[in-house]
Amino acid sequence: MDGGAYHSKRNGPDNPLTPHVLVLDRSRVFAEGAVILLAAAGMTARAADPETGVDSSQADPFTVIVADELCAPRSTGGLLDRLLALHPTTPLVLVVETPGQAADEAVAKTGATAWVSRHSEPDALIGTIRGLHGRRELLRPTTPAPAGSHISADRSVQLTNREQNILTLLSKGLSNEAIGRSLEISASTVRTHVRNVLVKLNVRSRTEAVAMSLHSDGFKGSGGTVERAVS
Amino acid sequence: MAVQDALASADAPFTLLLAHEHTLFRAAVRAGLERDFEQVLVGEAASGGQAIAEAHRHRPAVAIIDSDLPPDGGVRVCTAIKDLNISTQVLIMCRGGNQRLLLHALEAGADGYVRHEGGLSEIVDGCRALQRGEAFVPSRLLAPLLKALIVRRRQEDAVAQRVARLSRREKEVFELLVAGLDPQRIAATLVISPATARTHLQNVLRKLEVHSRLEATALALTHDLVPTLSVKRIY
Repeated sequence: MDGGAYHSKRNGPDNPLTPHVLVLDRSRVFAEGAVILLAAAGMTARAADPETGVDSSQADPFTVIVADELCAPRSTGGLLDRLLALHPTTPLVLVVETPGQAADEAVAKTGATAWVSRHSEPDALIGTIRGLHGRRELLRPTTPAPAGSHISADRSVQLTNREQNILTLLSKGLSNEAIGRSLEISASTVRTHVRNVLVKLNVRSRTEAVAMSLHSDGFKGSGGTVERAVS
Repeated sequence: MAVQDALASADAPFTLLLAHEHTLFRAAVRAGLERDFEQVLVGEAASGGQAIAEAHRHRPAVAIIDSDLPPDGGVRVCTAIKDLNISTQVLIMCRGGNQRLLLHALEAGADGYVRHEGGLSEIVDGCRALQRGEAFVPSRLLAPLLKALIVRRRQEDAVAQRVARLSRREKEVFELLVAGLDPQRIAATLVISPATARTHLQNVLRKLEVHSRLEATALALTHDLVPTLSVKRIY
């Protein structure tokens, strides 16, 4: 599949304000059309074949990935797992057939970040991508280093998809045990993830972490349940 | 006059109907088509009913119908649109190169066949081919399709030859069998003894080279043999 033909260079992947999106779908027709839709919305995007495109995605600095929920079921340890392994901090949007709770569960189980329903208008996809892209940027530390210390230029705060999920559930007020039940992991694993989140965000408490995530422009509501986002 | 006609058709936008269950899919394909065609008007439908209504109302040049269109699939919709007797040509869009589906689509009167795997370029090529008055089958499906058609033709010839072996009486018995009558009722209907009816039945099975009445019935239905037996049907 030649994704290059549809790669729009209007804003350029180097522009941090422009989402650079990878689209993977069993239907090549859909993937190619989606790239054009996203380009018309001012983003850059590339379509890739679910089977072969994962490996070639390594070199490209995608900021958001859009993947067909059914590309490869989690149980076969296929596409989605490989994507998340290669791009652990890149937000991943699942395109799903059935919105609502089933979609929430699919996102939680696969470690994706958000979902968009195939029955929704393009704005939902575009808004979700913008929101996820924007949130990534906002989680970088913006306070200047205190006198006498030094923050290295390439230190940037990136939460993994799993950490994002947990932050989302934290902001719903769930306890560690409830989070563990929801994601089918142990409470102690949850505690470890929460600890890492606090360190990465440079905050002292869960409350601060939640406040920080809710203040970001990208979202109404949490990553796991976003169908529409304010763009 | 001829020049005016040519100019008129050059300016007239190409009208398309896109029928697929998913809003996002339709939006994505619309974006692709609007980019690849100079002037195109794209109508949309999310279901079979909507597709037929849209076709009837707007008479698009080409209707692209997804094979999984709810509620009954795209091939049924193709038949319905063809039954409207309008000039709309139909492209069926499927996943993969399913032989049976392709044959089914062509039998339903589809003017062409495009695949999700073929990307936007296959749809564009398909539409352009239909505009030129050609049929469209993706080239890699053409060879298997022709082979399948030849095999089918040979099978039908073989079956036709076997049916030709049946005597007039045997054809009568065969048709009553296919209509669902048991040997007793066949005998009563034809005013013959049950033993005679059973003999005829055995000969039918033997000549048709099948092993059971069920197989004989299936053969008749698969190859649409009933009209050829030309005996009044009694239920």
